[in-house]
Amino acid sequence: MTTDEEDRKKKDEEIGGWGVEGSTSDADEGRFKVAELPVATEKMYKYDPKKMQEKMLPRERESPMYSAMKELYEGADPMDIVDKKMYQRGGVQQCRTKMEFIEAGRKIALERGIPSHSREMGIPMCQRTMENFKLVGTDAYATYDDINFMNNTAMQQMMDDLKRTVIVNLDIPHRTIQLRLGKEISPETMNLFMETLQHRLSGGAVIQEHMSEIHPMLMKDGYAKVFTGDDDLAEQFDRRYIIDVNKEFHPDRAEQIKVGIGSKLCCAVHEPTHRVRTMDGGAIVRSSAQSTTMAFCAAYRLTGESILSDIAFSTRHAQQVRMGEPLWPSRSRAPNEPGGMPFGYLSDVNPGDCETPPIPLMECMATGETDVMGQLMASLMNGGGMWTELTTNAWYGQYMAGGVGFNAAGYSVLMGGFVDLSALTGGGGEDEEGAAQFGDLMGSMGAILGEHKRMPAKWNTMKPFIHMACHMVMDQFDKYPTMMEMAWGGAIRTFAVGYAGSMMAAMFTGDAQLTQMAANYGVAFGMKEGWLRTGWSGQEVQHHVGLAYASSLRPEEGGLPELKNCNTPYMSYTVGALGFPMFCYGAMLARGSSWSASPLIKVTFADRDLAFDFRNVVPEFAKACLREFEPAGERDIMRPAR
Amino acid sequence: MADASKEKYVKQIYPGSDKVSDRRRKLCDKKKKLIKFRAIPDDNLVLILGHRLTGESYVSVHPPLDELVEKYDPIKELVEPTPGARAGDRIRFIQFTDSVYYPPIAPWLRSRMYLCRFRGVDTVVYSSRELLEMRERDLEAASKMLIETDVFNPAKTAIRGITVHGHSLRLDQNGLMFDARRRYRLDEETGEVVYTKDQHAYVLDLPIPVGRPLTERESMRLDVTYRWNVAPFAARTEVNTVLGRYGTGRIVSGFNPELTEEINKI
Repeated sequence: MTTDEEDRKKKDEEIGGWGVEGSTSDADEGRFKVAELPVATEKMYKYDPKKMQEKMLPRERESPMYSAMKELYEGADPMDIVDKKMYQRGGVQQCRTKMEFIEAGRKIALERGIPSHSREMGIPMCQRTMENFKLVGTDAYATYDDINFMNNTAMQQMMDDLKRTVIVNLDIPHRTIQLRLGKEISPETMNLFMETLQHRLSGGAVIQEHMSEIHPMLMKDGYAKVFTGDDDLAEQFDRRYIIDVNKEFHPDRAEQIKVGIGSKLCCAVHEPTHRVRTMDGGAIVRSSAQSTTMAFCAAYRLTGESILSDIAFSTRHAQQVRMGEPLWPSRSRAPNEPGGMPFGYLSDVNPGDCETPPIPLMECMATGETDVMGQLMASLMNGGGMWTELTTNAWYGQYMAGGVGFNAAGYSVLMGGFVDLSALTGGGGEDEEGAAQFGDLMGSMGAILGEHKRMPAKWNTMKPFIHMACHMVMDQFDKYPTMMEMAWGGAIRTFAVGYAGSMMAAMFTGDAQLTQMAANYGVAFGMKEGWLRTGWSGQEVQHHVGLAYASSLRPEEGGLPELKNCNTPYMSYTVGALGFPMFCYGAMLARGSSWSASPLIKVTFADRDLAFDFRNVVPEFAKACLREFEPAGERDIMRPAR
Repeated sequence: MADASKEKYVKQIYPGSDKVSDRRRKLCDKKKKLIKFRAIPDDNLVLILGHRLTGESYVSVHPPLDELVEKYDPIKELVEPTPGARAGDRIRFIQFTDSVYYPPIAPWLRSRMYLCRFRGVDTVVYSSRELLEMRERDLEAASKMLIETDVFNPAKTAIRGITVHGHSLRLDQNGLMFDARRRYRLDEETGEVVYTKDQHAYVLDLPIPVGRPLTERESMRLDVTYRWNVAPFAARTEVNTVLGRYGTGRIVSGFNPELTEEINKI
């Protein structure tokens, strides 16, 4: 044993022996067991909560959470359980958008002669505080209505960008053309193919004349780019047609990505938004195959010979990577629709980490890489905004429910900070503060855990941390009635309590499977027994109480989180689904990996030419709240001028 | 030496040695009586429930069981029908919303209590509320108990059939839980909470008093939740140990049902 190893082992023993990654000896196994720690007893915690409260409250009032809540609730004491202005806030007059809707509803009713939106119906709204939130990381203030998926063009564009994307591998068509037709594949022909494909995606005809073409202004955001792990191959392409892995990613990350892709040549096809908004993801899959095949025909002068069927089969089935699978009949949707997108893919859509080195999170904590740590936490929050919209608001809120309830959940992530992270740290979550404070907490945890890269993914090793995070978040909710009021829905609190602990599991172990077990445990045991309430429908739904589901790897019972999606039959129908891409992403950061499920997806969405900027998710949403976001796919050119 | 196998099994009901655990144990123990805090006349109860008029006979959905000739079923011999089932009453409901602030009972505990104390129930748990469905006359009897005893705090427990939210909001100026339908208010003359609307939010002819709000001291004494300033959850080692055991059992057995015994080693 070398001196370094001896020192390290000695250090492990000194810190209590949480273990290191890859330890396999019996002695190491033994050290992971919680039973070796002193067992706490109820008597050790005998203290008077009232006295503790008196000691702690003055300090609590200095916390960022206190000032953030005070600002949000118009100067009211955030720890007071009484709202002194309840029912006396002027109703809808306190909300800009509600007033606008009333006026619009009246105007529509007069124009069409049929009643429309009317505040006289139902119950009076806004009898309590109607919070105007600052969107995290921006200076924009928004109301609840601003973040309804149907009102926010940026959210819609984000989903459209996913739905209109297909990745096609070009190796088989090229090989077929080269070997069976004996035609030369050269940089010129490949670039000609790409230029032809752009024309085709813009609605142009390439093989036959006298065709009915589409106005390019309707299709102006349709384009395709290639990418590969082979630098020599990449250099053969015109710069306009390539996603340069070396340019978009940190050098170390680029190396990982390039190894993952290998020498494959892939083409990210982005059909126009107009097509996906008029049709659906299924039309995109088919249209993409048609466009690619036609571009091959035109570029290489192919005709109706037998190899065409091979190329068509390759571009449409065998070598086509779709964003999502078709759904089962009762939720019937075509491929490439959000319900069928695996959580691992949704995780990879987030390019927030592209420019940071792939250092495992625990190593960042231990080595004091606070900049990297902060960037990685910010990237997690960037993804949080995206995932809440794609799963909760778009899929459950609009596709499945069609209501106005799910959309309200989005504010827990988009507004006032990332509730669970802020709660965990006592931070208000203004701008990156929440992330930074979470980073502080993780940093201190890292100092405790030594210089290890990862904790072993064992339930007994993680359980104390899950308990700790769960209890901390619950305490924050108890201490701050204003925070409880902000997260008024049980499902939102469930997300915060359950997923704070589970994210610790993700970030310490890099194991998404253990992470979802931790989430289930936090909700179905921690929160439920602490408060005797969970979320919507008592959270008595499959994936919250069904830890056995979380543990099983059999596809019909459980499966890897990266490969599941919102439509997996035993997934619960709640806002909690947004946690799953987060589990995958957090685990990816902990492993120091560059992708969660597919390097192809990661590269495709690192492209900066998409209509939606996936690197700045919440700022894009904020632009839409201010009605400054320009969505693609509009039909203005074809409608009467107004 | 006494034969251990012959010792009578005593239900433990709930782990923990603190006052919150005690209260949880008590509410789920049918042998323990609830404390009566107030009296609600039957007619007032019928008005709050809003399912029938006072004095109106019960609507039945099938003839009384005694008059029915049914196929032999051993289960029917074993299970004594409730009065409502025997009479053929329709199924009706009552729904309670429990505030998060020192509630005398909370949704999951309601579910457990209903199942331990009542017969012929269907109940649904939500984050704020609990729906209880029973035969109509059984429901009225159960509701009376639920409103008159220590599991009802007029300020922080509310009877709401529709528009139930408000459990997580701060309390109003009088310390009452928020209600978007304003079904109840504090009568400052009597100091009691009065319902001016039934649970469906239809206006009542006369206000119905349901008793005074419990004081802060009483509320904290009856609180069933583990809160930072009543009974901190992190300090409940016995409860957390039991939960940990359940969790571990499910996980270990989820991967491999044959490993169920492994949890005994932890």
